[in-house]
Amino acid sequence: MTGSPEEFEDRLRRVLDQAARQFPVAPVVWQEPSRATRDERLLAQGEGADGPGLDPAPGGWSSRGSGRRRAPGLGRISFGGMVTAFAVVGAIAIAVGALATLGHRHVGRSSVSQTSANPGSDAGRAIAPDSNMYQAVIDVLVPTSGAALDSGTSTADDFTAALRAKIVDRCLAADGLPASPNSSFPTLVGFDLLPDLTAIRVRGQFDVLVHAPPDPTAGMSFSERAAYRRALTRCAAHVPTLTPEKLLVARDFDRAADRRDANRIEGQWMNIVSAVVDHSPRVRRANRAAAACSRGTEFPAQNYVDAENVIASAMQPYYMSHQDAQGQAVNRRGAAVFLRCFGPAIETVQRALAARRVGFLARNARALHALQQAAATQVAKLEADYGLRLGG
Amino acid sequence: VRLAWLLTGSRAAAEDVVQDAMTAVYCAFARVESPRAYLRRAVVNAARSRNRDERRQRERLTLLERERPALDAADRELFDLIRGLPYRQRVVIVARYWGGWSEADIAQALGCRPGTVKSLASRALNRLRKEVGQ
Repeated sequence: MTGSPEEFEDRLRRVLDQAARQFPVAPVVWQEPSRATRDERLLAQGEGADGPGLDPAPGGWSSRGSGRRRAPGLGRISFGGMVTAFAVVGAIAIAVGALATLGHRHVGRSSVSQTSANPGSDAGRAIAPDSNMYQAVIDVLVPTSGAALDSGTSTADDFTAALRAKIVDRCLAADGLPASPNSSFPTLVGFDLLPDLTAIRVRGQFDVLVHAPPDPTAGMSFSERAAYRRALTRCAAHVPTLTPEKLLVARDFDRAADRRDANRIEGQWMNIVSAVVDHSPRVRRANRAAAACSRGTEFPAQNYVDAENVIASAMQPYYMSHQDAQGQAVNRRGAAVFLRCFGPAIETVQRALAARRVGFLARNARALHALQQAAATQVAKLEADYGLRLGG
Repeated sequence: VRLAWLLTGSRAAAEDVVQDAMTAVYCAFARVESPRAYLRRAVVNAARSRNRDERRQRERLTLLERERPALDAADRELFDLIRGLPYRQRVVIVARYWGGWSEADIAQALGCRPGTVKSLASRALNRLRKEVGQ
């Protein structure tokens, strides 16, 4: 029996690791499709020389807000001997890891206007000053609202995205190639317990349809596209493995153990958020009023978390079938109902959390300050390591 | 395969899930920007589909008895509790504490916001700690 949250988390790791080790997995080898096979497949899919070269990832998570679309069905396909072996996840990661490191870009509250910018270019991209990392740590770990969480995440995200873009694009430019694509991660609108009311209000949408970034290989021949991909893989290999989360909450982003303080603080705060959402009498009263308000609308729900699911479920069939206009119409109507009926309940939660956060910050002041300093130090180190100046 | 096994509880299901997922990656290899993320999402989605199938759910419960790993009583209790979590919470716990995935990776795989991963993790941890009496 263990007592502290950290010990319990360690126990979880140990139990899962022990269990997984007892599940034997035969070593297998990934065999990448041959060039000819890939050409055949692309032609069969109607993606010849002029077809799209860099599609969004499965389920459209890079092209739809909040990743609400699901991955396509994974029906079994007969290969007729084409696939000779399958790899474990690690082997795939080695084979294609470099491409994966390009990562994803959040389009947060602070960057609503950036959706139309060329995501592959760092020109004109506003980067938060390093000092904003201090606030970002608080916003990400101890948010009182979805807007605060989005703001903190965007600060870190803009930094990591700009870092990636600079490194990769500088490398591509040396070969005379155009800037890299940078897929958009689901648009930030808070999360289920703390929706970002500000973003929803500004956009007039419950969830945001983000179009795929411009394809830099559009118009290239198949062989040119293949060459571009090879260059992209090579250039991406220089990108440090870095996520906004790692940047903000890890003392040293390569050492998971150093996340302990962040995990503890975040976990304790999330418990408070959950308790307020689930048990606060004021929030319950506000949710009852919201439920009554929504009853006569097309999105009836018992509380705001339920309302998010109802609206998302109403939008999903349209987005799944690429009926974007209809999906957007539902999106706008959903946003209006959400703000009008459920906004007050969310604001009640935000007020309750703001009151509780004062004491929480005081109790964790030392650990939070250490994390803030670590984040600022990491930003400075990355800028020095890569000869960049991204801070303001 | 181990990830799929932790999520489905059955070797046969895990192998099916991974084969389907790898097939999807293979087919999309030339098109997707991030095959690793694609694979993760495909595994998580395929495992979810397996769990949703009632017939296979019964099969899973039967197989779980056979495929229980050798752990001491307290750890086995915890392992069984993890397997009993709602699917999304189970994915978060397995991916975070066994896979070492980042929140962004888990969010991608689940198709949710990164913040939702936080709340799922919080709720799952609360539930587990409560169940084991801590």
